[in-house]
Amino acid sequence: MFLKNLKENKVIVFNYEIISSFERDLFLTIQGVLNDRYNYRLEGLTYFHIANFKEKINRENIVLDKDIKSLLDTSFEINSIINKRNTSIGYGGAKSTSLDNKNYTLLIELIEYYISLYEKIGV
Amino acid sequence: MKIKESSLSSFEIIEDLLSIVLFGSKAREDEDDFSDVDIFLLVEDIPQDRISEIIDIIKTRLPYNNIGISLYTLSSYKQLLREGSIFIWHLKLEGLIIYNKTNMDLFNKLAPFNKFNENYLLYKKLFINTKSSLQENGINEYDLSHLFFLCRNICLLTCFKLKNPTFGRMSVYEKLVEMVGFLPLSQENYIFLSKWRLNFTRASCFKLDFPTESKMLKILNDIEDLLSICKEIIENGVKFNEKIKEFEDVPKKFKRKQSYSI
Repeated sequence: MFLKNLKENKVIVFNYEIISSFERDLFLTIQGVLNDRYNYRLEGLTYFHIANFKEKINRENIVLDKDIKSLLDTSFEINSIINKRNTSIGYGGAKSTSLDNKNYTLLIELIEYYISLYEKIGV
Repeated sequence: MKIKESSLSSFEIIEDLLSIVLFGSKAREDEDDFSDVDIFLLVEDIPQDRISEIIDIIKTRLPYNNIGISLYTLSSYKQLLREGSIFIWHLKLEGLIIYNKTNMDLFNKLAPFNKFNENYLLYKKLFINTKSSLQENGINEYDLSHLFFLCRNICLLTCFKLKNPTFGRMSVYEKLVEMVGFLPLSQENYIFLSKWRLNFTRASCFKLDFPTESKMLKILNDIEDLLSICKEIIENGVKFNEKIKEFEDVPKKFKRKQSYSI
C-alpha cells in the first residue's frame, strides 16, 4: 500500500504518520529475517548496526546468504533515503506528483526490489 | 570548536548557498557523547544534483564530525516562514548563524506557531499506532525508540505553549516538570526510553534489557497520562495550574478505556 501511494505522490514521504509506519515495517521485517536465520537482533538500521552484524558474521565464520545480504543492504539504502528526506528528496508541494527526482525514483525501485527479495527468501 | 574566518569567507564563493545555521545541542553547548552536530542549510531553488554537491562541500569545510544536515530551498523555506513552523522557531530561538550570504533577516515575517492541536493530534495518533504495534509485534527496538520520540516532542510542544521554549533531549522534560511540578512519566523511564532511542538511531550500544510486560504497561499508561496533561495545557494554556492538581493522583483518576497486553 505504501509503495502504491508513493508512486502516486511523493509527498507522502513527508507525512510522518505514514512514513513512521513504513519505517517500522521495514525494520521489523529485516530484523525478523536476521533473527530467524542468524539469531541476531539488528537493533537499528544505521551504518553501524549493519556493520556490527556483518562483523559478527565474519568473526564467527558464518556465510551470509547472498539474498539476505542484499535484503540487508537494500533496507539500509531505503532507510538512508527516508531519513535524509529533507536533503535527498526535496519538499514538494502538497499536490506534487513530480517524477523528476532521482532519489524518489531510486526509492521506489529499492522498495520494489526489497519486496521481491523478501518474498524470495520466504520467511 | 570555532569556525575559522578563512572558512567563513570560503562559504561566500559557494554559489547558491544562502545561509548556514548551527542548532541543537552543539549550539546550546549542552552536547554529550551521543550528540550529533545539527546544521541547517538554506539554498536557492536548485536541482538535486547541485544540492548534493553543496552538502559535500559544506561537510568538508565545517570542523565537525557527525554532521546532520537539514536543507531547505528558498521557496520551501518561505513556505515554512508563512506557516510559522516550529522548526524555524527552533532555529530562531537557539540557532547560531554561521554564515548568511546576503545579510538578510533569516527570520523576517516568521509567523507565530499555532499548530498546537494539530501536532498534539499527530503525537496521539502515533502513540496509538505504537501501542497497536507493540500488541501485534511484541516489545521491539523500533517502538521503544518511537515512544521516546513522542515523549520528547509532546514535552517540547507543551513547553512552547507555556512560552518556555526549549529543545534539548533532557531539557524539554526537565523544563516541563519544573513548570508543572509533576509528570506521570518518571525521569527514570524517560531516560530509559531515551537510551533505546539512542541505540536505535545512533547505535550508542547501551546495554539494555527489554522491559518486562508490567513495566511496559506502566510506561504506556504513564505516557497516555502525559499526553492527557499536555492536551489539557495546550487547550487551556496558562490556566493549567488548577487543572494539573487533578492529575496528581493520576493512577486512580484515569479510567483506562482499554487494557493492553503485549
